[in-house]
Amino acid sequence: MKYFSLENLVVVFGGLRAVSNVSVSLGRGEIHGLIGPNGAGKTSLINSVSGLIPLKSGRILIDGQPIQNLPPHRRAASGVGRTFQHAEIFGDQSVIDNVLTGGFAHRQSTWLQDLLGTPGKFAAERRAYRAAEQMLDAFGLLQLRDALAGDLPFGTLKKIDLARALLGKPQLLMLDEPTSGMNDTEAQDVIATCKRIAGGYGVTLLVIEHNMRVIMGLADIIHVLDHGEKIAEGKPEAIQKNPLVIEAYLGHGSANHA
Amino acid sequence: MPWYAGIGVLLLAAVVLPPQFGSYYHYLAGLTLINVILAVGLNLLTGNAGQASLCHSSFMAIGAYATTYLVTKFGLSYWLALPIGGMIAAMFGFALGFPALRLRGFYLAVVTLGFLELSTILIQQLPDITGGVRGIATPRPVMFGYVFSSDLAFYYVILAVALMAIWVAYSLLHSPTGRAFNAIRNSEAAAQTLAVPLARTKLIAFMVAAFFAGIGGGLFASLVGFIDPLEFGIWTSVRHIVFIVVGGLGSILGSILGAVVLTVLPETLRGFKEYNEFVFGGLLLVVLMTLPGGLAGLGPLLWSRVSRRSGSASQPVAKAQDVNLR
Amino acid sequence: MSIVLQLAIAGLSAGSIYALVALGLMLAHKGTGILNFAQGELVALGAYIGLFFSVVLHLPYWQVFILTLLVAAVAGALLERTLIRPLLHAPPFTVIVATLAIGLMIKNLLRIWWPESVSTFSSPLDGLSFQVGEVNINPQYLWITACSLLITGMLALFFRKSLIGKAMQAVSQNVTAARLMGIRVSLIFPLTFAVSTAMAALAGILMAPVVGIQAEMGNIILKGFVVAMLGGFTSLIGCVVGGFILGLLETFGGAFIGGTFKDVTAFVLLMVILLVRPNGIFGSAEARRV
Repeated sequence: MKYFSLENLVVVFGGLRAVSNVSVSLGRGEIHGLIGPNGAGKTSLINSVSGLIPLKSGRILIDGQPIQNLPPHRRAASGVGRTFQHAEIFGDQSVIDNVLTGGFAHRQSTWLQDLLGTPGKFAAERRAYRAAEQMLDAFGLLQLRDALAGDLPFGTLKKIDLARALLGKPQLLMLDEPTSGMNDTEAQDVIATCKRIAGGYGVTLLVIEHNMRVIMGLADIIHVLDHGEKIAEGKPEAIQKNPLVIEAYLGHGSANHA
Repeated sequence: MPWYAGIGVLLLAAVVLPPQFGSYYHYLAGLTLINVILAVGLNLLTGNAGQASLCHSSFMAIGAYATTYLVTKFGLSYWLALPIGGMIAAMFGFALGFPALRLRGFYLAVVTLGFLELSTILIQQLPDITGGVRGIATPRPVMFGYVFSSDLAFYYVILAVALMAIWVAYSLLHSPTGRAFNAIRNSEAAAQTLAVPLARTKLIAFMVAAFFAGIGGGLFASLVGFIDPLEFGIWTSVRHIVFIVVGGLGSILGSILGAVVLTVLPETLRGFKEYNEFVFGGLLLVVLMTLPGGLAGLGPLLWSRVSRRSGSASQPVAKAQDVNLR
Repeated sequence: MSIVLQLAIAGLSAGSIYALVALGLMLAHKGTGILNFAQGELVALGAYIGLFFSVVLHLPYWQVFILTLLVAAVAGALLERTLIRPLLHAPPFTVIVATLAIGLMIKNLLRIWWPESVSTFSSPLDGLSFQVGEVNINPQYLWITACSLLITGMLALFFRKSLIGKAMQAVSQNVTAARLMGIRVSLIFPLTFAVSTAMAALAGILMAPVVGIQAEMGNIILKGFVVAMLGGFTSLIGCVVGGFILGLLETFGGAFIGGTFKDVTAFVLLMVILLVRPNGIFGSAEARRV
């Protein structure tokens, strides 16, 4: 069995099956793509794995350990990270504060130490700042370090979201349309950086993407959802030729082909 | 460089100026710094963590009564009774945090209002501890035989505590826990996916705010020399909220500015006699309508007009709209 | 049995007052998004206006009644136009502090204008009482309850049937869409506040003969909030039912358990309801998609 296993996940929204019996297996260090027309249930799937919406049924296993009954913050602590379609940035915080928050899972001071301001806490803060600055630098955001996040354009927010999530060194990182709001050059840059950092940590990626050029070049395996169900899984070349996949996109006509 | 010097100057002023003035000003200065402690504590909970709280004065009362009781009935030294009073208040803050976990914004605010009413009733119903409606007397602290009976001497005690409070708040906001506070205010969803435990963080916020209030209450009781239960009602809590909204939500500087300006201002308005509340309300409205970031936002606002820089680190961290009310 | 009846009548009438306060709060909030923390002072204002017409101009009760409501409505519209309008786009916390400031200013003015600490004005029902069986009933209470229900009912009809009422509902649901439909939103907002203030004034003049008039009357706003929350802040019926529940609980509790219970009831009730149903009895849940 692969390291990460999403088994028969079912998500229901008031009578509608947003995710219907979807199973995905991911090995460590692999990069998987998750594609499908709008409304196929991709974001709902990710939301259910990170714990923000409840699962009707199904199991989520990391190295054989079930986590589907854990609250969201405990799943995050177990190594499940994600980014958001709308970036979910902390708008009135500076860029560096946003990214620093990503390191919360690995914080080295207790809340009491934080209150009292012990030397240990200040040393930990300095280390945290260095790590966050390195991450910002990798994404070319270091000069925006002290800028107010809420003032920045959407593409930049997506990068901050990604940097923030990566700082948490998750084992499984789920990305929700990481390149939206970016032109092709930016998209390629961001993906290259993400792949490099993730590769360095051994992070497994599950990427929702609408930009076909990006995902076909990035993913080892691609899963296709339509109307909540998985209709195909396989290598990029196979998926591109899969008649079911083509029909799902052309039939509903709303995906953007690169 | 400049801001270090500014703080140094202020500190110097705070230490050196008061003896130059009369005892009424010593009392006022002490009161102002107590309000600073209260405002800083509340701003951590409401401005940073985004949890509305209208019962800050209840924790003040708990601290005041606990400190007084420990000193007068148990003979404990004031220096011990004060922090213990703060911790007792923190315990109640923790307890209040539990209903808060299930409630958002406005509903939470009204529950805290309920807690306030409840504590007001309890104060009246437990006269053995609280002296009931008639109040109870609180002595000044003693150190090595010296009694801090003059308002000036006690002012320095309050100053020391206020500086410690500011330090704790500063340390907290520049730490993972502090970032967790700001995170849960901005986006509970994102915070959770970054491993921030919502419940625990909120409870810590309630506890810390209550601790600050308890300490403030213990100091207040000793400054006045007497606890009047009417001091801890809804309008006191409202004043605390006003301190931080006018000063600047989520900013320590804002808490300080709001508390100082809004403690000193009513005193200067005494000249307006019956109209002083009217003038106070009017000034409040003007500030609210013209300064969205509160007083703490005034500096950066002027600075960005003067120079072309943008994004100042001393801007109030939170905007009023982030205090969850819907 | 007679005690129960008397308590019930008193409880219902107290509850009606709370319901009126809650309704005013809810209307202003639904219609403009403003949480008006000055609503309590508007209740006091209504009572003082009634006082003026009654004691200074010596008008008969029914004239006092109608004129006070009209004057209050105009005052509410003016208030909206001048002080509330700039707050419409302000963050909620600012609105709360600002309306508190406005309330403070109103209270101060009332205190200056009418220096006597407690006053009242007379109603034709003063001192009357009639008997049902062995029970003495104060018709004042019946009048309060009946009048509140009547006017609330008229309000409900107004919203449901009249064009303006429906326009107000539209604005409360979606301002932009209402504008696109040609509804003059800049007229609807003051109208909403006019109705809200009139409700407050109604509460004021109904309670005045029973509890007297003083600048501190505004504290009733706290109970108004409790009742509005019981109604989920959206339902007219919720306010009425919630008000009755609170009024009855207070009155019966106060009689059988003791005076303290009366004061605490409102908030114990509130806590219980919110712990069980955080959106009030009649409210509906909201969720946010990420």
